[in-house]
Amino acid sequence: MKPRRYETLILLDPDISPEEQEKLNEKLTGIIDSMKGRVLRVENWGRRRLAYPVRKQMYGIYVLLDFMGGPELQAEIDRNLRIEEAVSKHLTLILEKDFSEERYEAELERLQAEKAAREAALQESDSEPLGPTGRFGDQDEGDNEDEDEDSDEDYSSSSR
Amino acid sequence: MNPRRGKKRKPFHRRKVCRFCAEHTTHIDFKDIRVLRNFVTERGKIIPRRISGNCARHQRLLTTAIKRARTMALMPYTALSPSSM
Repeated sequence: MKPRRYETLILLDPDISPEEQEKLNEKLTGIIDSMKGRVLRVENWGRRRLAYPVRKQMYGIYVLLDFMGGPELQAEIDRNLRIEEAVSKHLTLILEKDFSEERYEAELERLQAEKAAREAALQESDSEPLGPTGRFGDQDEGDNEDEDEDSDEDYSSSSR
Repeated sequence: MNPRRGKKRKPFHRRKVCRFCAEHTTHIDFKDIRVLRNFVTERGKIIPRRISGNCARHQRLLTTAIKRARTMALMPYTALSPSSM
């Protein structure tokens, strides 16, 4: 069986306690370990504002899980996520189809190096600790005005 | 049938290069909303290729990325909903 690299993004209820989060974390990593998978990274993005209400909530906790394993493992993970009450949404992607052990090591290093670099940069610039890779920038308010006509005629808002 | 059908073409052709091709991007990450935001209107609609200048392949990747981001509430389906992007 060729192991693959999966990436799962989980959206959790914002009101769950840290203990519950931890429990879920352990549950998932436990599953991964028990099915001879390997965790590449676990990122908790914390409480974020959602683009639209989910389960009547405007905020949610995002957790990113990057792991190596087979399709059975992925099915098991998803099955558990569906059962879990605190999980409002989840999405799993296959990142790489043939993920060998060496690739795993290489990626692990690369990700950890990136993380270290990011944390170093964060110390210096003292920017907001938002998002996993700092790519999310600000969460400023969008234009909430009502648009009567379709003012999309000009696409000038986009950059070219 | 009007014999002149299809003769007149609007001379409006975007010659700009695809931004992703220029950087040889292989994968467009749905989590990278800072990038994705550039290709969506204020209303949250996906900008057509003829405006954005993307090549077909990258436009497809971009579209799936945006749609994924939407399902995970990272981006709105429409900006009329009472939230920001």
